[in-house]
Amino acid sequence: MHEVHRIVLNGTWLLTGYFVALNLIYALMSVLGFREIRDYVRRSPMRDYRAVARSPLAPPISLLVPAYNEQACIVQSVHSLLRTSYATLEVVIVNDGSKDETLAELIREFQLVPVERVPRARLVTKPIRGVYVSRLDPRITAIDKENGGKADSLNAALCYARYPLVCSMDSDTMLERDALARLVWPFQTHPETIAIGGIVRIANGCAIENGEVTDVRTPRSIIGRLQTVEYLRAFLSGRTAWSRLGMLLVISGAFGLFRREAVIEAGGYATDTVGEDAELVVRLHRLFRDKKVPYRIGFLADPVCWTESPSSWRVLARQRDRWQRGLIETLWRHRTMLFNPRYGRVGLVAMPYYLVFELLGPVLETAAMVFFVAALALGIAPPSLILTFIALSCVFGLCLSTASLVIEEHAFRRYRRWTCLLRLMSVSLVENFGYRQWQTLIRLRAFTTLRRNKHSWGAMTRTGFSDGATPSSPPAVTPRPAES
Amino acid sequence: MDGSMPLSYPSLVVAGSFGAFVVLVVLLFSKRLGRNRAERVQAARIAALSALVGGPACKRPSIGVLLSLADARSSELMRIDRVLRGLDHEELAAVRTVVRELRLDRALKRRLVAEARDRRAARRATGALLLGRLRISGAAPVLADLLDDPDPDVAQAACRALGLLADDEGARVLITALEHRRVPVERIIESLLDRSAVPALVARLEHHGADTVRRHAIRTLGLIGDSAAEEALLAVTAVDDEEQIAVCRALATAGTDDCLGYLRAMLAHDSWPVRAQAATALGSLTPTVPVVSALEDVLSDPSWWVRANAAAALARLGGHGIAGLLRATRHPDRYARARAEEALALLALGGAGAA
Repeated sequence: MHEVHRIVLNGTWLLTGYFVALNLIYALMSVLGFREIRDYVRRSPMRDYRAVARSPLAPPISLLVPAYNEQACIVQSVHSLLRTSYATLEVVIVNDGSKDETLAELIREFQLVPVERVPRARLVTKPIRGVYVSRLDPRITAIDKENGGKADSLNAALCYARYPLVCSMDSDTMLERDALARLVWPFQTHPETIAIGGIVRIANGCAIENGEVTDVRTPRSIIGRLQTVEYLRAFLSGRTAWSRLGMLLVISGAFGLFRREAVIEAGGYATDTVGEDAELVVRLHRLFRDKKVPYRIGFLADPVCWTESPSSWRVLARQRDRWQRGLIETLWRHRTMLFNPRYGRVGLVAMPYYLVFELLGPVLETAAMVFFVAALALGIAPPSLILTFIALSCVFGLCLSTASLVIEEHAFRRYRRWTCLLRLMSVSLVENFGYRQWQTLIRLRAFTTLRRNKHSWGAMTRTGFSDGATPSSPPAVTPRPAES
Repeated sequence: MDGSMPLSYPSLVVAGSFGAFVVLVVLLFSKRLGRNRAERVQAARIAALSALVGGPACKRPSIGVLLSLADARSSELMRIDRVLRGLDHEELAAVRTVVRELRLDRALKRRLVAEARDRRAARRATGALLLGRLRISGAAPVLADLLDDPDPDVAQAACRALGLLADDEGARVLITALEHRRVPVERIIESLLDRSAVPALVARLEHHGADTVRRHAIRTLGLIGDSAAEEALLAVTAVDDEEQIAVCRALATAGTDDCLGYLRAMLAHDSWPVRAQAATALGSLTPTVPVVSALEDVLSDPSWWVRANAAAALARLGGHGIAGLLRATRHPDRYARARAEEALALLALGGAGAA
């Protein structure tokens, strides 16, 4: 019995140490995120993004849009992407063997015609059925291929993309007008830049006109608001801080700009993982550190991409399960980078952090719950201490969420209504009671689903920004002169 | 450690965390309240400034504002720069005229040069941009120094300001900067896109030898699209294929019908990228019979890119070009037929049907 006491006591202290370390790291991230964004905002007046967007010399960008069963939103998304104020861009849509009318919708709306195109890169993909170009707008290319998943579709798009910079997108996303000009700036200023991620914000609840967010509001549903706070925390504190430290390991697949040559040299997107976005970034780190070539991978909190978030618990659970599986697969695949000085701070700091606090986080959090209950049952810790610990956990979570809101308010101030701010504050409190624990269980479950759902994406039900959003019908495409 | 854990320390930590939370909430709401007030004040000031320097109609008040520039604070200069950035060419020209008429150059230069040498990057950038926007004479050396600024944003602001000066001295500094590459090449070329830069660019082309600066000069002349620029482009003796491609590409944007002979000659070049670029450039000329027939000839070129560019160029010419494409659908060469059919299909004229 004495031995059990000792184990429970030591375990409890160990997990308390883990909790303290985790929250200290989060607090540090918030401070670093704040400093980075403050510097960025101060520099903004010096930069003329409008001139970059208009310039015929701005590096041309290919927007890669994989689509699988996206008939509900694909046309609206393409219209939104075409409205982006950027001088030279093309939209490469990949119909990944959709079972619905995705391709038919595209053909009808943009008057696509089959053409013969030579791929500009050799990446292995599922067979291509055809390449289409729009009669109305030469910037639109569509590739029809057999189903092979998102990574396979992105690889196909990479093969047919014409331009040196490629932007991976989701088919349900909308770009802000100057988002690409802001994202391209580091590529021009620091030529060693190979990848830059932009912020993904949740469009549910916002007013949308002509594929553009005109009034930013919080989602109507609690699930949407919970995700809004999560996204703000993850992007404004987490990714910004990792970027400042030069250790960014994740660029969201929904919005990231890459140097095409670098991605192709790395072998394109991995098709045997569900976390192909993070895996690619880690592989790029690995490639450039192996080659000992200076490079830069970063994140900017200002170029905004609006996306539809899952609006049901089942879909959200699937998404989080997929993210966790992707993380496990990525860290396993690149396990030789862990604690390896050859990979510098990425191998010595970032990857160990992701291993201990992100991958093993749900395991350790569940263990903490078990140990605390055991400590309570064995009389090692009084109930008041456990309650204090829970209170501390809640208050700390609340502090971190509020810190993200402070950064948002200081720098960008998208949510202009008081009610929005209050809703987000209240959700920051609510998420501590049930939502965080639910997430822990979902992430824990990913260890078991890893083998069963090998590389399965799971369906994402698109409603076409239906959660309170007010989409208007897209205007007809006006014919554009052919590109010289 | 054995027995129960002490309660006082965790309680203190909870209290501390709660205190931090309260501070954050106060910060959040005070920021919003403060920002609301500040935004109202700022909007009113910017509106007033816009009205003051906004146009020739209100010249008298604008004199007051411009006079105050000479001893304005840095924050004021930043706001004024934002206002000037929003003005169109004519309005900005009116402001410059007032500056000259009032002989404010010297006082303004003193103040703005001091700003451009400030410790803070944002202030240096503002000083540089205002020197450029107001076209203060003799500002080029100061801006040239700023091109070497350790802060890339300041260097790029100085580059833009040199372009805004729109004079020969500024253009020469920018062309020299093309060699040093401290500022992205695109920024420098964007700043050179003004007719005032043509003499300096033409002078740079007179330096022979293969170098990237020459290619950038060719590209810039093409984007300027001036008749003097076209003349200079046609006179270029390309030292290698890359330079030849640059000339053809420049003629695609700047070329007039005078360059038909030159581009036709390029269609017979040994290098396929040169031929492909020449085909594209021909598509921007007036659709005359010689242009169409030259493009029809290269529809059976051995290179896929040349065929594709020629078909696209014919489609862009319209009228005669489309007639040429229709003829090409009966071309004995199957590659030529395929490209012509594709181009027609894209023009909604039906590929196989038209054939």
